[in-house]
Amino acid sequence: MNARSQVFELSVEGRQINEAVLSIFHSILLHRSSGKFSYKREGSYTIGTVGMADVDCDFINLTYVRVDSDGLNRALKRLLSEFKDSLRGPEGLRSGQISLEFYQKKKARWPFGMENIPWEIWTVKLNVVTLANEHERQICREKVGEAIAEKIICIAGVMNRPEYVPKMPNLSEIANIFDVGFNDVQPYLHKFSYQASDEPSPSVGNTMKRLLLDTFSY
Amino acid sequence: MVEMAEKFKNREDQEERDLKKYLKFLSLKAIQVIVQSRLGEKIHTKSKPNSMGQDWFNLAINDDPDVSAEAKKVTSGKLPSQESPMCVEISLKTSEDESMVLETWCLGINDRVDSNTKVTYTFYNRIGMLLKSLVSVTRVTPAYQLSRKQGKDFMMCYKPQIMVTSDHFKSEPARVSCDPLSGVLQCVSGAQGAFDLTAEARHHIAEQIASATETEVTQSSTKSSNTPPSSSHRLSSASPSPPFTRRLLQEKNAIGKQDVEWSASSSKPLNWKQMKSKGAFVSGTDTPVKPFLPNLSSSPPFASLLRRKDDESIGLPSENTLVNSPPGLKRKILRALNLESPADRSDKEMKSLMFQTVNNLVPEYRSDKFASINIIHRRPDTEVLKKSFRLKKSFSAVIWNSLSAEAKLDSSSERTERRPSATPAMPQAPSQLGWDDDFVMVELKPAFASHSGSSTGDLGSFFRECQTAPPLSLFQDTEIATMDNVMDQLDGELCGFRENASKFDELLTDLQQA
Repeated sequence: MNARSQVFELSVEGRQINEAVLSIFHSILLHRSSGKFSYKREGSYTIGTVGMADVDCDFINLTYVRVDSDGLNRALKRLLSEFKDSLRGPEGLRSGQISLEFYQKKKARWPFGMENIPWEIWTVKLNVVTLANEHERQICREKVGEAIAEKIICIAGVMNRPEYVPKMPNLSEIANIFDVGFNDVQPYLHKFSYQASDEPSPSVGNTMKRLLLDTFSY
Repeated sequence: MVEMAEKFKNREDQEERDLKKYLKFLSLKAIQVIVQSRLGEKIHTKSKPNSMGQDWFNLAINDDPDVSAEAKKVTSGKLPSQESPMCVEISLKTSEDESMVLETWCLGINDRVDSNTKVTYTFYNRIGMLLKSLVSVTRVTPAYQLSRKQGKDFMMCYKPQIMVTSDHFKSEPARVSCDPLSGVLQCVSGAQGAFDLTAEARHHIAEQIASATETEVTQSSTKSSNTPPSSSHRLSSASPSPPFTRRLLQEKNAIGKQDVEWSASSSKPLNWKQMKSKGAFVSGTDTPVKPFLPNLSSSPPFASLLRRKDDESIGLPSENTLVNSPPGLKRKILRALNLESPADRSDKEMKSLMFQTVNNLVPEYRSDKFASINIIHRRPDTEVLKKSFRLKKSFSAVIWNSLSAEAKLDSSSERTERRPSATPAMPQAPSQLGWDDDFVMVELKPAFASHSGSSTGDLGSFFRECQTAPPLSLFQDTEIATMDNVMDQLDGELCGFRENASKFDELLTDLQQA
């Protein structure tokens, strides 16, 4: 199955990184989260309610909406701090990219167990710029806000297209489709990955080499 | 057999009833979302894991009782349909009773039918998705930023209504608002057809003020500003009563229930037929493609912001054309807004920025909006207009993008692939943020130009070289003569003289002897 892919590019200042990525990922997760499922019996369930919260950005002229879920919010913030750490280089912050991948688990052929099959990938490429003075910073604040507003409208467009999303599962399969680890909402299964711009991407050769080394090390 | 047919009929009836019920609640919730987003407050609703289906569409959207009452009064059992969409008009009203329409959100149904879709489940979910999108998008329009700043000086008003597309509208094509800033959220239903929400958010702050300038004279001479608009300016000919409006601020003071005066300029009739684009936030497949100008800029980041140009050089009007001052409305609103502005931005820089903005608009947009820009940049206190116009530009850009071909909607990814300088290691050109240089290189692929070397060809490289021509060496060596430099030079020369003093003495004695 081919996963849909969307790539957003932004030029931001170092201190805007967190808010820029959070605003985009929270907007995506708002659309890709549902209320918690409560199964009465197999095939019959009720769905909880998704709350929403407006968030004002400190370094960007923007207000975005996120799902009201402390767990999800914490997870995203933790991820963002890891991402930002990975961007730190000897000469300040480097550029990089971060992806949000929605996937579903499916049983693979013997002898393999479950495999994760991605169905939608959102990537945010960040070019970190350094600004000389407060005047530029002020303009950047507005411009990044405008750019993210565009992205949010784009997200709304993509979400409302009649395209593939995994079917509502039975009780036994709910964990193959949804992330049931949060106690208030239920987003589709997703994972994050990030990379600084000058890090070498893991090639097939490298991966194979590492696999072999790992095998022989036992 | 008869039983089967009856069963089928009953099921269809049930689905139709469900569909109507969902439509009704969608209308009510959409009004709530739009109006509450303009209250000027941050909204926070709680997620409930065990709501047992009390909240419609599994979304926690609280109902404001006043808004609910008005929404019910306006809809009064009517549902938005293909011919009569439901609209919510958001307008701004100053403390001096002047007003203008900021945006209009419309909700209608289109005629697409998806016979495979089950009404009860898919439709319900898609409405939920539609409302989530509506919640997200209402926060990123310029009117939202304004609404957060409302207070004593100005306030936001709303007016929900079911529009009727009558002959009146059809007979006035000149007044049709052919705004590209429209998008439709699509939600396909089973029996009845597809469902659209047109976010016809007409971010017209700048041009409304500009048009108010033009109409103010006629307004004062022909009619009082407090009179309801004439029939030609009414939003709906089917609504004989004065337009209902009310304050959004929760505290109800004396002016809370006043009717908003509808200035002739601000109440442009909307034509639903025109507004009904193929996809709301979703692009239509048969919409003509309006490609962007490629953002090719060789300048370093923020270079365009630092450039200072004279008015003449960027084609802006000279000071003597600024005699027609903006109207009182504009001044008052701007004074009332008191928006923060980039601290020390000079007027010339702003002009330069504005020009770039106009320059990068789509052609149709550029031609007729330039006049309004001229008015906008005249006064130093017009930051809000500039700001909103820039925002508007970006919105027009993204909507154009979404209105172009389906493949084009994957805009970001596609553009990324096409960009030659997409390596994240390089600092990105400001054009990707919207900082477009006034030097826009269009990839023309001219005849006889080789394309092998670079994507822009010889002509492109020639232009680049011209733009980044090295400074003349004559000027390279000129150092700024500061007092310290002069003193250092003098010191050096004096030392040299002192060292060579004996030689000079010898030379002198030699000369004297000779």
